[in-house]
Amino acid sequence: MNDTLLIPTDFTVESLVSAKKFLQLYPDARVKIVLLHGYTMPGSISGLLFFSKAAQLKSLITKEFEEALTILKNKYAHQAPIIYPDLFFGYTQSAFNNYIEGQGITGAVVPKSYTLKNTDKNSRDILKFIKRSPLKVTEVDWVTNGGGHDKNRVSDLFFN
Amino acid sequence: MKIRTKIIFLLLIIFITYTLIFSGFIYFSISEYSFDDFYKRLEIRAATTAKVELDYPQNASAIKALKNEYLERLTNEQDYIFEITPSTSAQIQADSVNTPVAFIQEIIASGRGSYKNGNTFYAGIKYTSGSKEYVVIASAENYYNTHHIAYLRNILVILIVTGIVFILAASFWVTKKIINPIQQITDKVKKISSENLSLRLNMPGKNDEFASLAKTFNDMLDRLQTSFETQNNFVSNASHEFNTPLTSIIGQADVALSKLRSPEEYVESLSIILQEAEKLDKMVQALLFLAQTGFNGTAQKFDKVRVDQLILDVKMTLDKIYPANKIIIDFNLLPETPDKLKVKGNEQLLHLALTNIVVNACKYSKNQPVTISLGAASNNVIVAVKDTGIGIPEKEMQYIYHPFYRASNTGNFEGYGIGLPLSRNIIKMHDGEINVYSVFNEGTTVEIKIPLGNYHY
Repeated sequence: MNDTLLIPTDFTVESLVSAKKFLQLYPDARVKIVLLHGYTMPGSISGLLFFSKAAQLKSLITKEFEEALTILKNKYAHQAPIIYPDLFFGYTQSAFNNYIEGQGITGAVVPKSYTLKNTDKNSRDILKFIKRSPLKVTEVDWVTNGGGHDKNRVSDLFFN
Repeated sequence: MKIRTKIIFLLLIIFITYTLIFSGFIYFSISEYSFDDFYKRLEIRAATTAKVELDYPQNASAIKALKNEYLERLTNEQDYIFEITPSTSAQIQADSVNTPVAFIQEIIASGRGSYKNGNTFYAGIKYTSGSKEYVVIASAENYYNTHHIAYLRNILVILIVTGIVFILAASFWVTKKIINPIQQITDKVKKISSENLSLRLNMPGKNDEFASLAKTFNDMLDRLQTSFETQNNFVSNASHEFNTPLTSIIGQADVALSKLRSPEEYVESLSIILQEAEKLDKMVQALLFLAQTGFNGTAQKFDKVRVDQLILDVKMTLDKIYPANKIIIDFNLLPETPDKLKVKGNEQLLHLALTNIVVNACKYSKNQPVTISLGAASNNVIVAVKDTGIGIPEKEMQYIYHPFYRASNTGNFEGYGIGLPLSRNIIKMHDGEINVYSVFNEGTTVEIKIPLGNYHY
């Protein structure tokens, strides 16, 4: 099966655990995973003119997040998962549904107990969009182990 | 002052080159233009002369009077008219006018010609009057060349010279302002020595390159001072640590020798002495090791090390030290290719480093479960050791790498405080990173990152 999945992320290593749990549950799946983060585009003219999604992503993604992502990719190397982050700028459900259709996303993986944090003052929640979209939602759960810290740690990927 | 003189020279050369080119261009193009202009005037005069003399000879005197009254007089104006006949020689004509033959021949051939001898300009035309052809030449001294152009030349020269003087003065002043901060920094740093290592450079208010230089210097001094203090602390801590078992040995021996005792008492005393001596021995060895690894990282032999194998070996070692350990090895996120698990390092040293960490994890959690996880990122291998022990108080986190430092909550546990600094030295020798995260009374997580060896075999 060649699915494209959507996993909401706040660019913390712990949010990658959803991907880890999913890949553990379905070790034979060949998937493409989009790590989606809701973001508001700047409102000023100059901000819009010089806005670049790539640059914004680069500033949001931490070194630890990238390392954890590579660990995941190396682990499931034979499945060759394509995992990449993306930003969603829309405000409405139909914008979200359009995005889903455009990217060809068929399912979503959502963490049950873990709450996604706001990475930045411009971050937005997209869980409500996911829940009301036509996507097939898989819930994964884990107990946050050694949580309550702000620091983004690669070891969070291991211990959850 | 060398950089200053360099800058001044450079500025001067650039200025001189530019102004020379600039003024040279102005001077020469104006000269050319005025030459052309003058030739044209002469040609017109030649033409008018020709017309007057050849076509209207009867009105010659009247026109000449008009000319003198209204037309501008050129200095030393002379007019020559030659008839061109097959028998006249261009050479004779040229000689009589004091011009080269080529001039005359050019006039005959192409209809006009120009020649300049010093400041006297000649312009000639070929004029046909009736059925005869004439060469008409007008010559004069170029007033403009002698006066106006000379004036321009003088102005330009004066300007260049004043410009040079001005640039010299300006560049002196500018470079002084710029180089001054560097000189200040040099003077200040000269004063810093090992006695007053706490001196720091003043940070200039502006946020420019000199500010960042001063800041870097200050940071370096901070590091130097810290390492000096660490050295001092090390020595005093070491002596203190040695003191304890030594005091114990001396005390025991003293008491044993103070009066005659039973063999059992002697045996007991000697056993205690032996115990303390062995402790001392272990400590000295660890210290020696610490010193060696701390100072010289290049003397060790580095080769391929498989980190997963390393972890299994460490577990085996731990089984001997703490048989009751509950170590869980988590290889869930292992990469698929073993290439990504090979690092370049010294097996014994890495074994020691990891063992120290895991021993700490088991010891300070009283053998509660300890998880060792392994994963491979793009450039590093990541080993994480997690325990649920007594943790490290937040305020003491900055001291954990200091040799002999033991946190305030370690009273019930044995240890010398050398394990962690030693591990960190070893990991730094391997170009790796170590991070310790801890919550007091909840547990500690240690993350070790070691660069991959990029082995493909």
